[in-house]
This record gives sequence, structure tokens and C-alpha cells, in this order.
Amino acid sequence: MRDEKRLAGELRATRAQPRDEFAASLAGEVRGASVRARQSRFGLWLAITGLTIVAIASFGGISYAATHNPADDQYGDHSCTICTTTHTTTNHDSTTTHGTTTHDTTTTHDTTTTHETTTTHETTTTHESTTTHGTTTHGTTTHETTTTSTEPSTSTSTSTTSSTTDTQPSTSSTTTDTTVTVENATTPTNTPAGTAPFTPPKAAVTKTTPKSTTHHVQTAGETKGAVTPKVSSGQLPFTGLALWIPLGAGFVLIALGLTVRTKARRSNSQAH
Amino acid sequence: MSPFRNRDPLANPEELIPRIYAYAAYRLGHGPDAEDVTSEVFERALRYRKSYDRTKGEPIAWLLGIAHRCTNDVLAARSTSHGEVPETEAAESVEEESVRRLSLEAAVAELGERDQELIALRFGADLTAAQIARVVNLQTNAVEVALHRALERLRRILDRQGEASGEQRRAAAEPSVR
Repeated sequence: MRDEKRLAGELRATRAQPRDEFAASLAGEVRGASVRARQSRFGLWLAITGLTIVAIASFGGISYAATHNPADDQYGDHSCTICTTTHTTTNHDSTTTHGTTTHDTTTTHDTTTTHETTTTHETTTTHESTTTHGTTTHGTTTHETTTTSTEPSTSTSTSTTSSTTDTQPSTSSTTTDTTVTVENATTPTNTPAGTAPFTPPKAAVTKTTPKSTTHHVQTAGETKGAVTPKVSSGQLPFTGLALWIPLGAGFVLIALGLTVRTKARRSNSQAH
Repeated sequence: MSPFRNRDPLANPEELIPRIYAYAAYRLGHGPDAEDVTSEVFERALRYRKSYDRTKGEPIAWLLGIAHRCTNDVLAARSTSHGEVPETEAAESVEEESVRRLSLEAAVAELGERDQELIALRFGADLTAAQIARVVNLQTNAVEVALHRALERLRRILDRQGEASGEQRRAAAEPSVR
């Protein structure tokens, strides 16, 4: 009598095996079909990728990216000056914050005036900025500043009266800003002996008269070009790659994808 | 659905073909019918490859589901055409293994369809009881019990065959002794 385990072992051991040539040919056929299916899928993927690139390019997506500065989208086209001054705050924007005014994201004017003996304008600008006592030139913006200090004083503490006159929107073409600062220099208390006799403080009139301040409307890629590279149309941003390259790549991918897919389908139909 | 979930079920055909063939051979007998069914199974699998869901089981289980249908088709065709006897390998083979296999095949052929199916899945396709349970939609315990009974019936058939062949041999030997 056979027991169950022995019978199971016999059933396993004597199970039929396919002929080698049958198994090999069937396996080859199945593998070939799998490869063709993969090729077909890859071709479809290539074609879709190419189609996407071409579609984006043809609807202006790439050219939009090539010509549009993302900073404009975020901050707009305002021109304003960040002026941090203890005496005079000159704002060239409708938005005024005492002490700090935003001129631009890329432009910062920090003007610190300390009335000691002279008036010092420290201007830090990320773009071209030339500061001269008396004349400050910011690119195309010209501020003429006339500072008159009648008496050099050794004291750094000053009382200031600031009057700010500017409600000029940033896009205006011409404006006249007049800032009159009347300084009443405090009496020096620690004048060393032997120096010049005390002169009563006179009004230190600082007249800042930008004769013709021209606020140039900044266009994308002009002033900001100093921060972000200039991009002309027909070029991709950041890389500066020519626009025809992705377009060409898209068309090549479509052609390649369709070719691969067609070939895979043809060989598939031949196999069947 | 994630592309990783439905990996290619036919990525390794070399491993799958012998198991499908063995299953078909237990159901139909070793030979051309089993080869036809195996080819048919893989052809259908290629055609309906996208319908394979990995979460529902291993590729072998999916293929055996197809093989089950293909085998039933062949068996149905056989029953309508003169009740053909399953084709077996040439009887002139004298090797012990071949004889043993032939006797086993004949014994399996005497079993009921359900028992044949279970034995083919267990010993032909080499599935576990749990995998068989998934294929035939039964509980694992039920499959184990059914397999046990199928083997018991097979053992009885083989014993009966052995007794019959022994009697035949004795009957054949008796005249020569006299």
C-alpha cells in the first residue's frame, strides 16, 4: 500500500515536462512579445513627451518664460528708494514709510546724513550708483543736492526738521522734488579752549532740489538686468539656450517615438 | 493604478512554461494537447496582459486560471467527439519511470474532474494549498482536505491497478508454468 507522502512524491517526480524545443520556442515568443510591447510603450512615451514640448512651445510657454522676468510678477514695476536718513527722507513712491522706503527689490538707497562738518551721503546701490556731494546720479535719475552747512560743528547730535515732499508715483516721467531741511545745529558743549569763538548757530539750510528728476520707467531686463542676466526673446531663461533647441528636440522625440512604435507594432503583427 | 503594481507577469516565461505544461499534462495527458493548451495559455496571457492585477495573486495563479479555462475547452471538445481516450506516451517505453508515469497518468485520468484539477494544481503547477484556494475560490482548509481525499482515491485506484496487473501477470505466467 502506498502512503500519501510517497504518492505525492511520485506525482511530483513523474510530472510531465515539456519538450525542450517547445519550451524554448514558446519562451522566445513570449519574450519577444514583451520586448515589442516595451518598445511600443517607450515609443508612445517619447512621442507624448515631444508633443508636450512642442505644445508648450507653440502656445508661447517657453517664449513667455524666456521674455518674462519673474521679479516683475512678484513685485511689480515700481521704482522707489530706500532711504534711511536721520534728516531727510525722500521718497519717490506713493508708498512712504518713514525711514525706509522700498525703491525696488534690486535697488536700495541707504542715505545716512550726519551733519558734522559736512553732509555725507552714503549711498549703497546694487546697481550703478554714483554719489557725489552735491550731485547724485542714479542711472538715469539725477538728483542734484545742494548742501549748505554754514558752520562745521563737532557735535554729532543734531536736531532736524525734515520735510518730505513727494507723492510721485513711480511711473511718472518727470518730477521735481524739493526737500528743504533746516538744521539747527546744537551748540557744541565741549569746544576745546583756544579754538574759534562760539558762533551762534545759524540755520543750516539744506536744499535739495532735484531740478529735473527723471524717474525712468524701468523695463524688465534693463536695470534689473544687473541682477538677473539679460534675456532676449528666443532664448530660454537662466540657461540662455536658444529656443529652437527644445522645439527641435520635441519634434525629434515625436518622430522617434512614432517610428519606434510603428516598428514595434509591425513586428508584433508579423509575429502573430 | 501604479505601474509598479502591475509588473509584467510574463517577465520570466522559462519558469512558468513547465508548470503550466505539467498542469495541462495532468489534466489532458502528456503530449500535443498539453502543448497546445500551454501555447494557448501564453497567447491569451499576452493578449490580456493588461488585465493582470498583481494584488490578486502571483503570475502563475493568473496563468493557471487561463489554463483552467483552456483545459476545460479541450475536455469539452473531447467529450463531444467520440469520448476520446487521453493520449498517452508510447507504451513500448520499458523504462521504469515511464511505466510509473503512465500508470499514474492513467490513475489520475480515472479521478473525477475536481480531483484532477486539484492534483494538477498541486503536483503539476506546484502551487501551495493557499494558492490553489485562491485559484479555485475555496478556503485553504477545504483545499487541503479535498487534496487529501483526492490522493486517497488515487492511491486506491493505483492499488486496484496494481492488483489487476499482478493478476494479469500471474494469469499470463500460469500457462507457461504448466
